[in-house]
Amino acid sequence: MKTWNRRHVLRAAGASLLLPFLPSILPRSAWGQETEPPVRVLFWYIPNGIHMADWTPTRTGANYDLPYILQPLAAVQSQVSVLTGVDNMAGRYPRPGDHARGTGAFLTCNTPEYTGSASYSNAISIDQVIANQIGDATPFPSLQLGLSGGANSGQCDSGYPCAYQNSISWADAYTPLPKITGPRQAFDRMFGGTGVDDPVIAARRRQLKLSILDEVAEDASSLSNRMSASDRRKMDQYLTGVRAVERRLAGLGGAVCEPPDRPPTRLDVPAHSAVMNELMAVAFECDLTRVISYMFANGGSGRSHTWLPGASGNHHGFSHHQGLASNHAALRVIDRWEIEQFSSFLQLLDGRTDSDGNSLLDNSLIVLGSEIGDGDRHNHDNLPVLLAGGGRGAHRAGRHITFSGQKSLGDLFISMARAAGAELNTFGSDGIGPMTEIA
Amino acid sequence: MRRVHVSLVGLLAATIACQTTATTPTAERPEVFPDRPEREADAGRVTLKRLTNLEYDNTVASLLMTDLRPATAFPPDELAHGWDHMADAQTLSPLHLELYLQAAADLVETELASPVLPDQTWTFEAETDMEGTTGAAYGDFYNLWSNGSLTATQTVPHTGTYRLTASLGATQGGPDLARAALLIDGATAREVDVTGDRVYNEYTVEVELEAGTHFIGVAFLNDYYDPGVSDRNLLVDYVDLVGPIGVDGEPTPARERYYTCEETTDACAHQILDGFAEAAWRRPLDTEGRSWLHGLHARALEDGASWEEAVHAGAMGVLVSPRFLFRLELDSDPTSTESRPLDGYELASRLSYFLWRAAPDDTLLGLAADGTLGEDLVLREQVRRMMEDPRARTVVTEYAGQWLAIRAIDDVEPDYALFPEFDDALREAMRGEMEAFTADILLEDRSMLDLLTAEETYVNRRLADHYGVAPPRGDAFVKTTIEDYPRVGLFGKAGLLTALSYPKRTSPVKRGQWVMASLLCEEPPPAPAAVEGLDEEGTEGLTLRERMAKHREDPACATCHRVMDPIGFSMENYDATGAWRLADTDGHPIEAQGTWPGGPTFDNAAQLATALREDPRVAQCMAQTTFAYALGRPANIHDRTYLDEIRADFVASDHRFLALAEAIVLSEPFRTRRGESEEGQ
Repeated sequence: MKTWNRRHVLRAAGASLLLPFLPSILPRSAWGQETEPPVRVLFWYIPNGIHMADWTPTRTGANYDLPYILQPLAAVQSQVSVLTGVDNMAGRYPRPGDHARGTGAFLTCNTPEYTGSASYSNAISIDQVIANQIGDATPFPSLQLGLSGGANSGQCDSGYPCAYQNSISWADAYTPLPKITGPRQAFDRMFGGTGVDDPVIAARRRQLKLSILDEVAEDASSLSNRMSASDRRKMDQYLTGVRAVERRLAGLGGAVCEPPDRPPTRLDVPAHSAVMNELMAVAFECDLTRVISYMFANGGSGRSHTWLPGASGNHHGFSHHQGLASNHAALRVIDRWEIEQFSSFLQLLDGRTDSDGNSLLDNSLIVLGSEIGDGDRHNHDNLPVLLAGGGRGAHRAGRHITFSGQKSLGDLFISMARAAGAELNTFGSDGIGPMTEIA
Repeated sequence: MRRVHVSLVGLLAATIACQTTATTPTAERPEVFPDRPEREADAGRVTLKRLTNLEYDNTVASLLMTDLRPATAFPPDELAHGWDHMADAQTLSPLHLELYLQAAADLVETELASPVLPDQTWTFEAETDMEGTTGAAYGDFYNLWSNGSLTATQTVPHTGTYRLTASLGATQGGPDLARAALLIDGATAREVDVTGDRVYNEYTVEVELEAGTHFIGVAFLNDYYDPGVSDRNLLVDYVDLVGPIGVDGEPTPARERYYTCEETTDACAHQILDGFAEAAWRRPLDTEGRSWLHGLHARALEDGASWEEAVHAGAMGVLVSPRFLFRLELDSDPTSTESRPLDGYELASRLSYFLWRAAPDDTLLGLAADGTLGEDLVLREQVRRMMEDPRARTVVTEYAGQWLAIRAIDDVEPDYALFPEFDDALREAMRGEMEAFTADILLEDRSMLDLLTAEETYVNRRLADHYGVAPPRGDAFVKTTIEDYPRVGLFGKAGLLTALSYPKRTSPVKRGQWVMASLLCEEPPPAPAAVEGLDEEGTEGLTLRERMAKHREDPACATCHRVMDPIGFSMENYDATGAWRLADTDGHPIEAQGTWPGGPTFDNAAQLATALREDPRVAQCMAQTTFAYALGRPANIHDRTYLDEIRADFVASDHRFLALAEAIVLSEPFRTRRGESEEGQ
């Protein structure tokens, strides 16, 4: 098997990504008839908290200092704010399982229930709240992406079902949205056409698929009359899925966007991360979607960072650092590398011009966060939070913003939703209004 | 609902269970039955099940005889309770639907494709692609200015009818029109008069060609030259070859099976689709399903589909229908909590997806059709038959694969610096041993207690090297007994020992916890957050045993750890990759002996295994675990009476998997279902 390293892939991807930026093929908001570019939002999850001693800047406001872990942000510091003192208390509950609960609560700000059986009870996540309101404008109302599919066997955190740790996006209380993790799969989903060149045949195939979906939906509805409540809930998920695919098919056609080269099926983690960054940047650039959630790893991840000196070993294990210097050292290396990857993505957005002449980063709002603060304490207050991009004026970026007292992550999400064009007044268990301090 | 008072007799053996802590209410804990004296038996219900990814692939493989594995692209199955097919944990997202639709299109286009070979066109530009015996190329044509030929060679892949076309013009001169021949392999296939002056027209001939290489071309037959007066020449623009025309290739096996008629009529389309739907949906087509299917077909025709396309659209609809993607068990009264016997087809699917993780075969469907599948004797006979079938391999790969952590071997990553000898060959060898070992017991109908104590195991050269024993000849796994040091049963398997270790070192807690949860069904409550994961990196200077002693200083921890830790310590002679050792990584000698409070004492893992073999909880746990696997839902308090019966049969059979499977299949929860009250009970 041919092995791909990061350089290969970037070179391959670079060929078409570095095409001259032609406004004629990149009006980007061509799907709708908007004259102004949209605000894109992206939710970036990292696992196991952060070694906060090397994260929190000492100076507040603009020109804040960059502690060791945040140093990779130097190139885009003016576009990134560090938010200190933000909580997501929905992750807390007097029961073990903070990784499962915290990850499940990351974008829902709701406490995922321990159901005792094998079912779920969570709540809709912020990305889906936004996608439900603005998603019709793009081929994909939202995208769920990740770097790791998760183990193929075993149990998850403290008896919680694994979906709490493997999905941050939830369509509703019962429907975790799976993410795409394979580089080629992500590419194919975003750029895969019908495979048919003849436009007449392609149109007929699309129409046939629409008819099929319409008919199966009708059959499913009539079947659910002979089902009890729990079974009907599954049939409802089926019907929701059918309608979503119908909307996508109906919206296909007319997409003009130069895709990057098709990546291979499997890559090592650093190369995989680089490809996902490219794909997410292109997704925004081509206006394939305006809402993305990205799991850099699954909740409580045990990824071994074998390519980083001193960080080979179980990440979750290191995060239970017990105050030991050796564990702190490994966490510093891992955390800094995570921020490097985040920064690379921000730089990709910063290097792309939107239709109003600003950079894509100027016109986006990107949040990075984790399910807990400190790996030993499993705390859900004072979480590591970065907010990047100007959101077309919604965020005065480049500051270290500190909060005292309780400040909910839900408030930040309300601000992001509004900037993206969604109406939202409260969110989750403690989001009570927009986070005015970011503006 | 049958109401039975259940005694606790069978469960009071659970004396060594660790006590729950105040923060972990008993009622919230799965798999551990609260110690309440009486419960009503209730055969219960299983929520609607979607085909898992494996089940999807297996089902389309038998349906369409395809090598495609579409589920490779689907989102991974949701894990809960250690299984990937628990009905309540399964969800369905828009992404699933999108991929199901794509898979249906790929499957239908590949496996139900028309056998008519697509024709191909080869075009030869005269001025560049052909060779003349005379004349010369001019711009975009070739001028044959005296009698001669212009030819090219082409290999055709199939025997059949081909159409040869030449675009010819002429400069006319003299009394006659220019005359040309269309040539195949040097012979004239057709002679033509080329009309017009300096105008190109196409001249065509159909020829029969064998598969192979052929010369094609044109010849100029009647050159005329009257110097200064007139000059007759043949001008050649291009020659093309199209074919084969209307030739049938080999139909795919699925095409042959389902396309039982040939007329391009609605009746034939219906016949094909009815047969396909019946096979795909694993039961006879009911009126509702049939009219739905014919309606879809009609709609496709209205959308402008050709006959072929409309049948394909119908087949795609069959494959994205809930009747295919789910294992439907419909109730006429969905709110009734009275259990009803499953119909034969529902039972056939429950059986086949339990033992094969695949669709029911013709035998099962035949018994469903004649109404005998529900009989005890028939069910027993079928379980025995199915266990003989190669498809029963999933009992090893899926059931043992998940229960005994065989699949977890795929995810282990021992630290490279500490265990440089660990590589994918060793990983494969570990899994190979576990699979061969469990297959030998589960599929050969030996006592499942042998999982604990069997002395024979399987090694290949790589594993023999890891175990430090003489390598077998050849590359295959061979059955062997290791006599140099203790290595018996599950607790001697490198794969399990590695899966229950950290990358850098062993974890007595993980190993002990696994034994309690998976073999005794006594899941210890999770550790409090503050100490969870405590043992990943050690405290300097102390032996592991000394460090673990801290677990028992706190009474809240001690209740569990004094049971868990001795189990784990007994396996300390096997390092984090399962290799034998006498001292730990810090050089401390291994002390593997242990004892349970009020229970047996053991000196090593082999003795622990022997002690567990005598423990009645193991059989109880095997029954409970297998029951959950068979039904796709965890066992609960209402199942106790059934589990008691199942366990009794299992024990009476000397713990054979076959007897256990039979007892479960014959139990009420497997053979019946009921609706759900409005309150969701």
